[in-house]
Amino acid sequence: MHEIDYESPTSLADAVAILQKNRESVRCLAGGTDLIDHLRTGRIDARQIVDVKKLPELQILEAGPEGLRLGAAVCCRSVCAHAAIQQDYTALADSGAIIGGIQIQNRASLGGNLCNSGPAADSIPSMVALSGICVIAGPDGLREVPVEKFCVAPGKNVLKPGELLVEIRFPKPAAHSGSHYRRFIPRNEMDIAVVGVAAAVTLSADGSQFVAGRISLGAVGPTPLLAEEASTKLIGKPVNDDAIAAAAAAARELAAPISDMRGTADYRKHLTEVLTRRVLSAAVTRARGGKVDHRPGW
Amino acid sequence: MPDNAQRSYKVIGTRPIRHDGVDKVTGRAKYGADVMLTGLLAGAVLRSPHAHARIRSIDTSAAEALPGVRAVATARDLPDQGSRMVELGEGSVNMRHLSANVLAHDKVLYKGHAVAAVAADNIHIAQEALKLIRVDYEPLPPVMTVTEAMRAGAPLLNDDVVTQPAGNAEALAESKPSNVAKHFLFEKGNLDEGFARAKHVVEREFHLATVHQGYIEPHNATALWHADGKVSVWMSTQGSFTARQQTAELLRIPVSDVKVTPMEIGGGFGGKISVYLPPVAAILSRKTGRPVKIVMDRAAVFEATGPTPGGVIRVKLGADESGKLVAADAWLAYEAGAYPGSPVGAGCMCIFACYDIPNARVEGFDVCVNKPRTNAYRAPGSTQAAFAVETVVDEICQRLKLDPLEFRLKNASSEGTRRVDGPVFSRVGLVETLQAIGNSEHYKSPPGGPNRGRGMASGFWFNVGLKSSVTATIGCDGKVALVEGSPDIGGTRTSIAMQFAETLGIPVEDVHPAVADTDSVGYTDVTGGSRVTFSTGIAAVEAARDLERQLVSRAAELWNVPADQVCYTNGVMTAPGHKATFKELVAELHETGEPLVGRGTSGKANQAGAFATHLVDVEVDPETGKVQILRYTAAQDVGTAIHPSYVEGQIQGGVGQGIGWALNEEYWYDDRGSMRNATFLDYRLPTCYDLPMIEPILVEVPDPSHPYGVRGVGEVPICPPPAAIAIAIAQAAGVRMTELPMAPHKVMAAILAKSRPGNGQPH
Amino acid sequence: MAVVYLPKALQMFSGGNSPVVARGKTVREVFEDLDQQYPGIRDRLFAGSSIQPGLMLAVGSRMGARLLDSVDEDDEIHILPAIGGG
Ligand SMILES: Cc1cc2nc3c(=O)[nH]c(=O)nc-3n(C[C@H](O)[C@H](O)[C@H](O)COP(=O)(O)OP(=O)(O)OC[C@H]3O[C@@H](n4cnc5c(N)ncnc54)[C@H](O)[C@@H]3O)c2cc1C
Repeated sequence: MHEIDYESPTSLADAVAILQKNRESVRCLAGGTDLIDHLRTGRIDARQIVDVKKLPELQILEAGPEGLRLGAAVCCRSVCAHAAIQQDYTALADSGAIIGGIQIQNRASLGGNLCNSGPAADSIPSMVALSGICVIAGPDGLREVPVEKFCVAPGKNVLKPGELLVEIRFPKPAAHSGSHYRRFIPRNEMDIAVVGVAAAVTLSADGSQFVAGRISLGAVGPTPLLAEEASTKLIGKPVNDDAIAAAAAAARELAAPISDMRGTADYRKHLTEVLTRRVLSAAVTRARGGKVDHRPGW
Repeated sequence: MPDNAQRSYKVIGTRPIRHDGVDKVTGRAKYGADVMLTGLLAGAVLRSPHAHARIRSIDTSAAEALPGVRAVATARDLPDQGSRMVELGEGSVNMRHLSANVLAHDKVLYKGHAVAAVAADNIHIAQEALKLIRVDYEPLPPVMTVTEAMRAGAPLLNDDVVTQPAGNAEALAESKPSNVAKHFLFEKGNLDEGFARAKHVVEREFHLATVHQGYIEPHNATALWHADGKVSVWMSTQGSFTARQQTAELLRIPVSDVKVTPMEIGGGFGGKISVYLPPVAAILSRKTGRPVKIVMDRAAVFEATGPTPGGVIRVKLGADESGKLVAADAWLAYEAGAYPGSPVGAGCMCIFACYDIPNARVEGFDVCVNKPRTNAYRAPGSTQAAFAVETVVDEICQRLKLDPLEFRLKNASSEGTRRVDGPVFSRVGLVETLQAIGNSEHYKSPPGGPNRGRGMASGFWFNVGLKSSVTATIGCDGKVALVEGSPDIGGTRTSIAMQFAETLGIPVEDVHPAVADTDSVGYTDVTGGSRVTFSTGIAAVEAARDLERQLVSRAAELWNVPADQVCYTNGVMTAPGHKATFKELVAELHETGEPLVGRGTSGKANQAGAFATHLVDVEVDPETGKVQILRYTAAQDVGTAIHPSYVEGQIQGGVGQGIGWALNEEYWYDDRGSMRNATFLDYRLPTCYDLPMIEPILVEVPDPSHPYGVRGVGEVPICPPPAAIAIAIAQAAGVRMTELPMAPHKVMAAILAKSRPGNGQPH
Repeated sequence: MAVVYLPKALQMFSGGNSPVVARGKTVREVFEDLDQQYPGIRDRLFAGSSIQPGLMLAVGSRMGARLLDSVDEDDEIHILPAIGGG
């Protein structure tokens, strides 16, 4: 390994300037829980590191009537501990609590998880299900991209040289909404999702009908995906096992996984259906104000 | 719980704090990677990207030219070994193969096979230099399974390997090179007659994945080739004397010219007996005149150091109407890895060891495949065998509608049972472990709940004796420096010191145990085979007795009384008109005569085997195939538990590893013979969230060949878990798993296959 | 007389018989006597003056016996594959 320059700018403009200057050989550093490992194992190469944790815009964590503003460098622990997130954006808290252990969660950011753009990343499906919008800064100012359009291939995203992710904005969910994320792993900890599923649903006031729904799948394609056909199956349907099963079956059809050491393609399709069913049921429970008791890994 | 009062031991059976504990928990203990020497160079090893290839040429010139590179080594720097076999303490080794494993000669036989090595000013330069070494490979088709390797016309790994036949002269004449290195055959009684008498016969074939010991500390070695030709090595090893001998034989220098200092060790489980790095570091040191340190990374540990074999096992059992086993037939083919030497012989000897069966036959094959050379792993060869036989036993019980515990009690081996491989068991405690499980709280409370099941399985391992040496020096303050040659992996400093303290009647805190280098203590065999507390324990007891004799004669001299009137008990010396405690006496003796140094050795005594019976409850998610371990109880015949906590720790550790082996661990290869999961992320050892509290039951049936009845405890606990879990899964989900690991996707596939019409399993 | 259990591979010397009896006060002496009875068997058991690599001896139930170990009347001697521990 060679020497690497490190800078930690405190203004977005400075950060963009450094990124601009080094273009190809520069990397942002948030928690570093992916970056440092990838540098060490030679998966990526960099000559310049820009630590983005001191940029105030990337540390924003605000929930209001407009929705949620989640700075790209906010760590998982802060996400999990945030009362409004626990209440209204629960899937984000589910994801934040799954990523790594406590030490990792104190460093790792959801922005980093998104920019790393792994197909099995545990927070991306939740951000997709909750209709997140990425705010990106670059030489030409700010631009916005929906989370489901952010990743383009394993490890690749829409960020252009000189750009960085500033925050992810989420609209405030309507009343009677609930969300959940769950993954399947062979162990109960310390593993990569074989399949991950997030869902956000909005029910009618009496809790009997699906008004809206968004299902997102992880690890079943080159990027996390918004399962639109499966999501639309829910709308207007009574909340019952049949409706949930129909959406889960549709999700299974949308899954286009590969076989690798983490699972066979057939198994992943099977799990997509099982998890979608379980995740939708849990999201419904939350939408009705109930508690979901889920032991990770089980 | 052992009952001390009854046996009136003072130290044995207590739970003192381990002597090395404080340094370990405060990070002060020195491991191999901590070695720092003046002028130390960093070494790195270039490894083969191919699973099977001929090496046409190696060009190291560009690497040598890189600034900061001090030396490059290849197999050309290793002396020729001819075709000699050398006895290396725990079995004999073909030196040509061992040498080619350390640095590939003309072929690479597995991905990760060491090809060349560099010593440089720092590790970054060394790693850059590796990229500059040009190796011209001629890739060959890889052979990854025993089935492929045994097929006629399979690509050959080694042209000097010829099947050593089990039987007749005809087979002997057929001496063509083969991937099958050895064929074993054991017979007892008359198999055909046995099966003719059987009312119920079950036959199954089992497939096993390659798994790794998974010790946390990677292999490491620092070597210094001194100007006078002597070589010093600091390393992590289970056996400093075998490491010394292997290093000396590989370098073809006199054994006593090598000094091995065993550093603290972060796990071995059988995988740190073979040497990989010391000869390479030594050559680099010879070339540079400076010490060289090499530390493997995790990928190298997985790809290039001994896993334990996968393979295929077929078992057929026959029982009569009354539930008595009358015939048993087994066929085992184990992966040797690149070079011969799988533990299939031991597998053959263990497979039916838990049962008294009049008619049996066991056939085994040692088969070379393009995977790293396999090495010992806790009860080598026995876990695979137990998985197969215990699963079939459970199916027989199911067919006969017999309680598995009763069935096992009815057929259990005990003192006097003749094994299929010939010898008759002496005093062993299988029946007692079965009874202990039967009496356990766990056994009496049903698993309850849907999708839950319970499994029981037994296992056997031999345990070895071998040689150890100990010296003990009494200081003027009455404390004892106890020097031993057994690297301490599982708390043996303390379990040895306790036996010494018990014998000499002094507090264990007054004994200071130290593990010495090969120049500073007598010959000692490896820490392996569950032998240290047994055999090094005997040496320590001998050293204590030696000191006691010296103390008695010196006291007689001091007090001017005949020696036969002097009596030493419980740390107090008495003679008519005289009395002194150990400490008082020692202080006086220090003033009046020569030092008190005791010595003890062992080597004659051999252990009786160890048995274990385990009980496990699982829950299977019927929609994902994932298995959760709910409750685990392990009963084991432990002889005498010297330090019960460490015995329990060994049992819990063995069970933990067995659970990993059962559920998720495997070498996952792509079709080019490349391991794709050589990290702890994707090679799935169980985490603490995957294991319940493992409840050990210590059954104490003392081994009469040890003064305190010690029986090795470290290995047998890994044998029953995969079988017990497979049996529990069968009960919970109605599917018989015949393949390891029983990963969720495989269990799910079995569940789905069962529910498909016409595909029901025979239940 | 000691009772020697021959592995399959050595039974070609004994006309397919196992166990066979042989005389001696130590394992080594028993094997010398065995070679008198079945010429050639010694070479398959010994490498030089020690036991062949890869073999392990048992006297009675005790594995890992050595050539100089004493043998009592009616003791069984077994010739087994060597095992290694983990
Ligand atoms: C022990 C361990 C366990 C883990 N467990 C999980 C798990 O269970 N689930 C899971 O999904 N992941 C897991 N990870 C991976 C990792 O922790 C997550 O992906 C984490 O969210 C990454 O966040 P970070 O802040 O550390 O990102 P970093 O490592 O700092 O960055 C990740 C990537 O994104 C880029 N980047 C970061 N911030 C920005 C930005 N603002 N703009 C542009 N580019 C940016 C970096 O250059 C880098 O390429 C684990 C990692 C470890 C080490």
